[in-house]
Amino acid sequence: MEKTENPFGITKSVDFSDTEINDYWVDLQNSSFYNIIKPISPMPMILLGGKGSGKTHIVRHFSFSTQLLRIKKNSKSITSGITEDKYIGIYYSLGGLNEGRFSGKGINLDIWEVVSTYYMDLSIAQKTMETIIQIKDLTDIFDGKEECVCSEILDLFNKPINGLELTFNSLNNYLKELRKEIDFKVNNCVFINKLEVNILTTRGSLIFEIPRIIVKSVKELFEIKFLYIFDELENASIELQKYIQTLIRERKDPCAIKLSGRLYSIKTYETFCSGEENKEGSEFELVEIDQILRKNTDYDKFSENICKKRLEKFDLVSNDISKSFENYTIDEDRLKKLNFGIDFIDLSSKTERKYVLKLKKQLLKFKKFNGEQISEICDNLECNDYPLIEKAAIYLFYQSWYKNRKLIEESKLIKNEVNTFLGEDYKNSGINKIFEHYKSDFYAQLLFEYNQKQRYLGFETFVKLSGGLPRNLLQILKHTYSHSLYLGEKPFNGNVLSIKSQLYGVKKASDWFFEDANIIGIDKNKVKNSINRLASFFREVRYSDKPSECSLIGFSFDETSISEEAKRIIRLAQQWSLLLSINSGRRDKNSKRVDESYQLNTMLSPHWDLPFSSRGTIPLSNEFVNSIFDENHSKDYQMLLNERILTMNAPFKQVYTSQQELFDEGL
Amino acid sequence: MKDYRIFFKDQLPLDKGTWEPEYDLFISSFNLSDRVEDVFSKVNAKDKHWIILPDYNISAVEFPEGQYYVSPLEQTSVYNESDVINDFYYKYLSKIESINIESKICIDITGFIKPYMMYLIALLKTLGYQCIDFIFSEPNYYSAKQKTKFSDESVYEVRQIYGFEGCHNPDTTNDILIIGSGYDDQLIKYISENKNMTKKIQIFGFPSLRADMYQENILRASKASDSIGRHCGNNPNNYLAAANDPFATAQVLKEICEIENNTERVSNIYISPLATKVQALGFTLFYLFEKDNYPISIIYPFCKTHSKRTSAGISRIWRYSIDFD
Amino acid sequence: MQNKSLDLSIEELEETIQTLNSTVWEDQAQKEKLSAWLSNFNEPNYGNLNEQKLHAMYLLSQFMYFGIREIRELMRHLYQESFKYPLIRHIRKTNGNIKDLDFLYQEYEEILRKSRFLGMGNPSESGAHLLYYFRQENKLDKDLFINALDIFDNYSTGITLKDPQIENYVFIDDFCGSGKQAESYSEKILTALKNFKPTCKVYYFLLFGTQKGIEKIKSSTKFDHIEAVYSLDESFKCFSDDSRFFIDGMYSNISKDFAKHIFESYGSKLWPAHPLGYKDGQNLIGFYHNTPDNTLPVIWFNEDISKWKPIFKRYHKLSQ
Repeated sequence: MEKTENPFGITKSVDFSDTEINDYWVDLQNSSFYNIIKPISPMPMILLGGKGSGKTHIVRHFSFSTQLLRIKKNSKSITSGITEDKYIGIYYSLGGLNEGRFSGKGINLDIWEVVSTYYMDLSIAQKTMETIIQIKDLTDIFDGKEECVCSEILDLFNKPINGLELTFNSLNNYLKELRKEIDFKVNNCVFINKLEVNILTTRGSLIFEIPRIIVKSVKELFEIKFLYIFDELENASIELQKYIQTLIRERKDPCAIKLSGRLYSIKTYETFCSGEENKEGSEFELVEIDQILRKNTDYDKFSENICKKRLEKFDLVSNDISKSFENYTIDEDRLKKLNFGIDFIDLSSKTERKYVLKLKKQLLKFKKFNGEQISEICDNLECNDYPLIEKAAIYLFYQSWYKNRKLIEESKLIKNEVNTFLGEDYKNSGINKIFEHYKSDFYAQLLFEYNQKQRYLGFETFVKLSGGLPRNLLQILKHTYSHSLYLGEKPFNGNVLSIKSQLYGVKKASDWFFEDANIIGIDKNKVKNSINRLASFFREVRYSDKPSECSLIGFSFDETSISEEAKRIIRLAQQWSLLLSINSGRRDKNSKRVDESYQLNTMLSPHWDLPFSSRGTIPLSNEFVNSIFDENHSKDYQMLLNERILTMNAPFKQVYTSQQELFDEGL
Repeated sequence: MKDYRIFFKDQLPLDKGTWEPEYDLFISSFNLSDRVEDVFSKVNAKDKHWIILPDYNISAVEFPEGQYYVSPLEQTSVYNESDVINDFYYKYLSKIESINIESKICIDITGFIKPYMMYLIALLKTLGYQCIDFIFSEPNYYSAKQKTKFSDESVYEVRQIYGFEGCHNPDTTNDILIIGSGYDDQLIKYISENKNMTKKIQIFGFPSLRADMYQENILRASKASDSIGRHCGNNPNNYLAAANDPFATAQVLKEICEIENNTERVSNIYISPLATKVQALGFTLFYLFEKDNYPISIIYPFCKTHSKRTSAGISRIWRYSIDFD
Repeated sequence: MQNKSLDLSIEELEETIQTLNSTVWEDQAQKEKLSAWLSNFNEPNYGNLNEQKLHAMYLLSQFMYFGIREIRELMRHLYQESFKYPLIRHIRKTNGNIKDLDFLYQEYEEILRKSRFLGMGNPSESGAHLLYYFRQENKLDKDLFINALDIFDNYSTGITLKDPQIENYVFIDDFCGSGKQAESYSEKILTALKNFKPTCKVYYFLLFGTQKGIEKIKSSTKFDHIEAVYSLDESFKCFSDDSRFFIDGMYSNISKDFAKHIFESYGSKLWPAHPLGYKDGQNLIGFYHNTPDNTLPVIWFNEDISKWKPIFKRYHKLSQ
């Protein structure tokens, strides 16, 4: 609700006019959306994408209304523009069918099937005719041909239609009237539980035959494809999707068909052709746009260009966007860099560091060391000028503790590693190896220990957080910008987006993303609770003394062994982009395990103070997976969680299957 | 209908024993709040009937005095507004010999659940009933319950209300969704997401029933701002209509449609009353009068259960007289 | 579902205020201004400073602000719902429930021609100021608007009604607290007016009125018809027993008594005679054009910036 316009305020392409669809269009550098969508390919395509993947923006780009604007802008004649494009995009929103009305009301399912598919044919035909009328009005390609084309189209109707003027407008009006009549009857049948509709065409004929008649009759359109884009697939019921799958199977030239919808859109692959199912790779190609974006090396540049376009539109500074974000990234020497962002610790102070205090308490409690021994250990691990190095040293120490080594000796070895790291040969130091993995986790722990908010700063971080969904990036920027204005800053106008505004924007956008999954019904809470349990587990790992994995937001498990309910919830979470699949199941030949790997969407990380990029995955037992994702087992969650992190927190108890206690040997 | 505000509305006295005029038929939906029972006793009618909706899950021991129709459907089974109301009308109401389309009818909408109320009105109009009076009693709003939810937020379906499906266009390039935004931001989100490809316009109840409610409404609705999109919150894409006036609501809807259509021809209009029942009554009126003039329908997020006891006490009672002629 | 008692955090309140600021508050509470206002609460003797700030933010988040858009809408509503359409409905009723709009509007125009709209108070006060919006929003002719002096004529030779044709006099005001001003008008103007023309109708239309104030006007003035868009009962008094701003058990870290204590303490330094608002108003209400003095002074006190920085300032009538 902004009084001052926010350049990132429009996060949904549905809010764009056709002109804006073109104006804000950004293509990938290394491939292009044209090559991904393949508008003239005869192979039908199902294009799925998570919320905010940009799928609607992409498909609208191929619709005739935006095509036309591009053609006009390039000052070409409409005819040459169309022939160059080689297609005419007929965009149709399946949500516009308002399918819910084609059910119940005391009418048989069979009747509804026939009525709804007929209605869809009429609607699409009307859409096609409206596009043809536009072309007719702008060009002369239909001169002298209108009558015969209309006549042929009218032949598609089962009964002769007399007295209709043979013009596209009349034909279109006729289609409109037929449709309106059905609307009226469908609306009113609820009052009387009776429905009588005359079906005047064969199923699918209007969809395929009208384009065929047109390209046959008009030489300029001879090689043109009629590209049907059916959007909002998620709003189509199973029955309607059967029809759409049938259209795919029975596709005829000159028609191309692209379906577009959310990740959870597909309800069936069955068709009306004796119940045959369509198969990916055979009847259609499946494209998941967010996977493509996520894996695309060009995604960073693509994201930057999206933002640049918006800033330019608002006459704001747009070159080198990264510099407009207040953060600590300055090029300096290797060691000094380690202290950036650690402004909350006074390095000169003699006050003991919190993590050192914690270690001392642990040594006293679990190892029963005396004061002298504790001091010796801590002195060895000390690196006062660089808290992160100290953290790494303590981490190595905890590892030794876990492995039951002699701790005082170990601390001396670690001291050497620290010294090596401080010197020229740092690459060979054990500290360096640990840093390569855990540096960001150590930093996060420091922030946590010192009651600081977790920091997700800078444009590159924002891009990583977005997890391949451009809208996520825009959401973060929208909230950051809005808060920045509230704070009285003037970002992108010579000033930077303050850290405060960035922290606010990230948190707000992350919370929004979590809340925004509009899963219908009781599943919504089930999915949210599951994600909460999973993320809480990752959080426990990250902030433990000795995290077993670095930058952990991924997990793997044996799909064959978890409950059906857990599988279902995981699938739902994935369909709503809360979880991302890292690899699809690899079947182990011998054990028959199918290992699935998933990762939390990075957009959720700030909500639980988790890392914004994933490194490893952690294998989870079936029981644990069930306790996270299956409400029937959730009562076991806490206990299994505690067990799991036992080995990550001092005193690092090992859990043996025989439940045997481990004796201290560390003196 | 050019001006909805000429319809009669008046405030009924709280202290009077019974009210004039005498109706032939009075219908009220039973829930356990005092408001409906109080009004039931005060309305002057030859025939008074309760309807007991399955969603409230009212047990037999809680049934009211007087004549009532109880839906045979179980709260847990699958049914819709037309199943319940068609049964109510065809198997119960229409059997009352003295009732015909000339009868003077009064309906207390206070205890109704919106889709049922709206479907009943559409049914009665379709059958030829011309003049219906509606009563609504405002609760005493000051209570903590003001901030709680009145329905189980498990929305299980978003669709058009039966009888309000209208006639839409396949062209969706300039679709608009007009939301009567209430306190419940989740419902606003569901509706907005369901009609994702529309330009959203919100109507807020202002003047609100109490001075603090408008701001509270804006605050809560702002949680749905990301679903609303670009058109959230900025004038003139927020409209205001008095919260307790169905005629002002209908008039604002009319104004919006005219303005939008004049700016750029509207391809489809979806409207959704998510605030008060009075607002929903306004939406109902507008649809029934304008359905032949606009490609319009009413969509709604259907929830499973509803609280059978909301706030206590009555502050004001309104009567709205509608003439479909 | 019952709300569980929970702690309200400063962050949540900041978020609320930020949202209000960018929506209905017309940017009146930008961060800088908010910080300046919070810095007023710096007297450790009154209590823990963080607690003071928390309570200040809490009450601020409950503040009801009506901006220019809302005021204009209220003007529109007042005219349509309190004057125009009740008259049109009356015309319908007395003409067989006719629905012919041309006829209805025409009859109404006749009545409107014999009606005049006036503001309360001095022309420089807000009542008169609002008439401008009233006229604009309702597209009314400016000849329909007069001031109180124009009711009568011939002051030199002997007072008469300036226009005896006028049937309806409609007084418009934004806020009525005690009802004192209306009483004074009734005495000075209405008595004479009713003497000259007993059949004329005098309306008093308010945007906001306290319940007590409205009752007083109804019982002790000659206004025939009094209507307030919003009637503020005791629950709108911040620290009353029925206060709607403090609901028992809603937030475990918010205390009505503590809030009252600090606001009264600071208030007594700002306006010693009325530390919680004029005549102990204890209101939390403000308009784009001004903040009424019944509202807590800590919100609006604007006499001396070095002493106090307001958040929704008031252009105070110095005579008070």
